[in-house]
Amino acid sequence: MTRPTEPVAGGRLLRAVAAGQDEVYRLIARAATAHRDGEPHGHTADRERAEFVRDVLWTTVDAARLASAALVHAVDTDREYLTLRARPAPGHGIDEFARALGLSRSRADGGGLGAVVNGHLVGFVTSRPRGTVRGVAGLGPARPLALLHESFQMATRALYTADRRKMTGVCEFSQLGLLPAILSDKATGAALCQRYFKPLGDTDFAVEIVETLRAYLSCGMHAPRTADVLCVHPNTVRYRIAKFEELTGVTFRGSRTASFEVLWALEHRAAHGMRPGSAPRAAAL
Amino acid sequence: MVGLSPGQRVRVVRDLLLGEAGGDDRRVEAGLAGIDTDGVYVAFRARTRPGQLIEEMVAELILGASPCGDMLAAELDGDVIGLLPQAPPSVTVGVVGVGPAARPHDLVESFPLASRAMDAAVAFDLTGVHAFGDLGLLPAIVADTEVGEALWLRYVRPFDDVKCGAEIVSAIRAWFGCGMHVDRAAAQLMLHPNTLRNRIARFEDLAGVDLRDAAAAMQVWWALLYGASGLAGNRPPRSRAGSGAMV
Repeated sequence: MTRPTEPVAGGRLLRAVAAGQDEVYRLIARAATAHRDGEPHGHTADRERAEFVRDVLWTTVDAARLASAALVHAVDTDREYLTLRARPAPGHGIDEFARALGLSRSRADGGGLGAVVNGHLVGFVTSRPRGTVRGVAGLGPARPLALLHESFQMATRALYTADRRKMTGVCEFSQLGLLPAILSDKATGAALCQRYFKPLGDTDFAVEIVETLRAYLSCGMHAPRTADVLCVHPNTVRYRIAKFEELTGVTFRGSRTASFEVLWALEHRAAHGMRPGSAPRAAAL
Repeated sequence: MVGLSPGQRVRVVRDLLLGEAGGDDRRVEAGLAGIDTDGVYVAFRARTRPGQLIEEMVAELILGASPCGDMLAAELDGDVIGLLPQAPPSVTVGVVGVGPAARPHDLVESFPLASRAMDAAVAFDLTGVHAFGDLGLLPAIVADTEVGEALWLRYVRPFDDVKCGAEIVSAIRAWFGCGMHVDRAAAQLMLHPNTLRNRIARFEDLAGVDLRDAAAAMQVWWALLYGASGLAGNRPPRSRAGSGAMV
């Protein structure tokens, strides 16, 4: 420690203050741990852990408060974690589900922590869950403890996407491609539908064109392969695609941009139930 | 849209575009301001290029309005925001994003799209007037930084550490720009077509992707555009489109 009479340079003064702060946090943590261990009702500790989990997943926690809380809950502040937002399948208990995901509601097994918030199992883990998961879990990317709210936002979007596409198991945000964007950006989807589908009108032929379009883009814009899939003559495919280009004023020759915009519009239509009776495709964009 | 004091103009614009007044109040206020409440207008958001004055943008917008001068505008965070009977024909001093046409009291839904159009135009170095509906997927690429970052990290960033990675990524970019036609892209890059085929194959091999698959090709195309927008690697917060609640 610096003696009070000794002149202290700026850097040394800051280090001295920081060292003092660390000591205070250690004392707070020790006191809190002692309090928790002496607590006759385990539910108090459970509640505190749940509050800690909720704080780091939903908010930007002040660094000093985060450090002391992490110490209390035995969470390593020097490593990165993946976040989870999950829901067990009907008929399966949340504790069994949490264990399958590598989460513990009572202790930080392997460095992660979990809690139940608004019916969802939420938390953070050190590695991607392996094995069978009976339910659905959205998984966010690795982030340090102070930035877990960023990751958790993506875990939430992954769970939402999985729900909408009726997926099960662990759904990692980074593996969902463009699906989360298509589901959330309704304005872009609506604008593209207006541009590419409205000019087709509302006839049976328009439905045929759209189905041909979907198959044509899935088949790499190869007319004979598309014809095989649809059981029609290749010239029928070419005619319908030419009709689409004529009615909308776009061309698939040249840049691929138009084809990608149409793919997005098709997914938007399917995802938002604009075609009654048509099931969303399973493939992820 | 005449006869209002500068302070009244700002208040009307903010109420109509930012929704600082309720729906019924907006309708009444538009009428009192001399705006045709049954008419159709577009919301816009404009940003000048560095070195250009905001007054120059306002002057261009007023001159381009039809009827001339029929514009209500205010300043918001250094941008010009406002409403016009129709999209301005052109501007030279910066970029203008335009939302879908709507009645005055419904422009509160159009304005966020005007802002997104301007953001996309700025990110991709476009100038002039751009309607949200004409920008295709560019506003979505700029708005959803979470998806863009994930795809960029998966498909583009790894090539920074690969021998000739920059050439491989440039080849893929040019190939997409030429509608995935090898001969045209090779001519543009001044490469032999087989050299380009080799780079495409290298990309597919290293990225673990089959670019003949339309969905996979779209993800790579998105990642390349996100990288070109200047947002990649910065991990900014998701834009004004909002968190999980884009309009």
